[in-house]
Amino acid sequence: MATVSLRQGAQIRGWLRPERRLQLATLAGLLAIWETIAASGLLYRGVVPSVTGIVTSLATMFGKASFWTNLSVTASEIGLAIMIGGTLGILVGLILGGNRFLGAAYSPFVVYLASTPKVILLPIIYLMFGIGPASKIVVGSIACFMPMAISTAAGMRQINPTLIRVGWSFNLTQVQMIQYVYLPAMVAPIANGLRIALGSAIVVCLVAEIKFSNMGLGQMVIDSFNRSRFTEVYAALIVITTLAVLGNGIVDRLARPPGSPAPR
Amino acid sequence: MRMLQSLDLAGAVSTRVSAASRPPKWRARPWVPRVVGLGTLVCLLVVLEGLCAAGRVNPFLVPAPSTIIASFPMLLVEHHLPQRFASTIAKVCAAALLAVLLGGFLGWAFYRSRNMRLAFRSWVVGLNASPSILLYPLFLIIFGRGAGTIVALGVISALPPIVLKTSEGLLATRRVLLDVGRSFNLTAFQQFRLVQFPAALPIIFTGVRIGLIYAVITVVGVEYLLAYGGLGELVPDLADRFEIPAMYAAIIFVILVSAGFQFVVQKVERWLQSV
Repeated sequence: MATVSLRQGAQIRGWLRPERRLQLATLAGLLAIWETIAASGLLYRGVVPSVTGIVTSLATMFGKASFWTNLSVTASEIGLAIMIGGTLGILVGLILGGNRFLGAAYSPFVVYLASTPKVILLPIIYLMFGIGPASKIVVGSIACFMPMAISTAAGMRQINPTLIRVGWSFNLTQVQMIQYVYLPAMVAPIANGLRIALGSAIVVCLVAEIKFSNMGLGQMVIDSFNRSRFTEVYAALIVITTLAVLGNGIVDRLARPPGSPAPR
Repeated sequence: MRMLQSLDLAGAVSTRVSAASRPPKWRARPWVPRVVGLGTLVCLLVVLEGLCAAGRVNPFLVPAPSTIIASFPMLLVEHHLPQRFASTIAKVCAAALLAVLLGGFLGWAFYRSRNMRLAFRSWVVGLNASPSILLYPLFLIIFGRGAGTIVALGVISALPPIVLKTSEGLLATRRVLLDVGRSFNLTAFQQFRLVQFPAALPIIFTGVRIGLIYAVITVVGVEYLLAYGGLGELVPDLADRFEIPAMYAAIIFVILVSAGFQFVVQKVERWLQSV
């Protein structure tokens, strides 16, 4: 009983911490400003709908089968993009990071291509793969490939040389070296690359759906926008943003060594 | 003990292996890998040219490199490539400037107030992770289909790394530097201007570099989505007209511009780190 009350006390103190109060006050202030603008009619009412309208749309959206179909389409596109682009990125990263000469020769191409807006490649990809899910998976794979290759190559260069020597002393084959030495020593850099890759894949897959598609969350957003159903646009954006932030948080947790706290 | 011996043995083995497999002298020269990288690219282009000439590749999907190069003059004259380039760069610069001013201020506020940092850092990280480019329909309604929407989205995408790295840089200032400032009786503003800001500048610029790259990606991406102004509009425009070699040329130009941008900011970052 005493343990429970102590825990409850700690929880209450946690909620009363200054930063929590600041967060809650800011959130309340922003909602109040939003509601005031929505009620004032300063902006077109549809553009800034009331919070209750957005929440109602959100609830209605969760009840529709089409939402879950669109969500599964987008999730599978992003998942496949990460699998294909991520695997290729890790393989190329292992080669570029493991061989100094190849790294110096070809890494600049990967680094400079990484800073290019991938959506600009969409017209070529639409030409080659059509406007179905394949084109989204391809552009997503390209977006995932670059950060994974760069992070893996950087991780390879940072491996403790003693670990590599130990692997050699046991006469490990190249595949065994990758399995037992390189990959376990590079969990953090690969997870960091995966975090960036996930963000890039989400953006390019959704933008590709917005541009040309007949299904997926991106298509759902632009379809609601074109029909001037703004509460549905906001509801879809809240879901997409929440999923993206959650995914980022999970991968970020993987990237941190066990037991290390979040940066403050 | 056996483990230590095996480590020593491993060291000896690796020394022998590395001595035996030491690369030839010519490979150690820094320009050789660069030439090999560029040579590979040229070889691939020559192979592609040959395949296109032999009719092995559909020219409507992948045009010959020579036709792509030949379409550059048309891009310059008929499609006003320099003006479009200037338009995109102007939007990127406007977005970057606003993001640096706003992000720098917020980063400084995060540094000054621990409560603000604890309360809002996770929000900024969340904003960084969220696909902010998807907000474009809403900005379209507020700012209209124009440069305002593109710049606003560019600012939102560039802001998080600048805020986070500014606060990180200011917080990482070495204590001894601050003590030296205090020993000279510097005012708070002098301490910031003469000690903290110069010490934090390399880390701050890392944030600015990432922010600038995000701004380029977002500005070109939104131009592409809106089909409005600049380089981003040119590519879908050429695709709609089915001018495939010119479309490829425009895409290559965008890649070169992004790479050039990255190259310049990387050089500036390295220079700041070495100063």
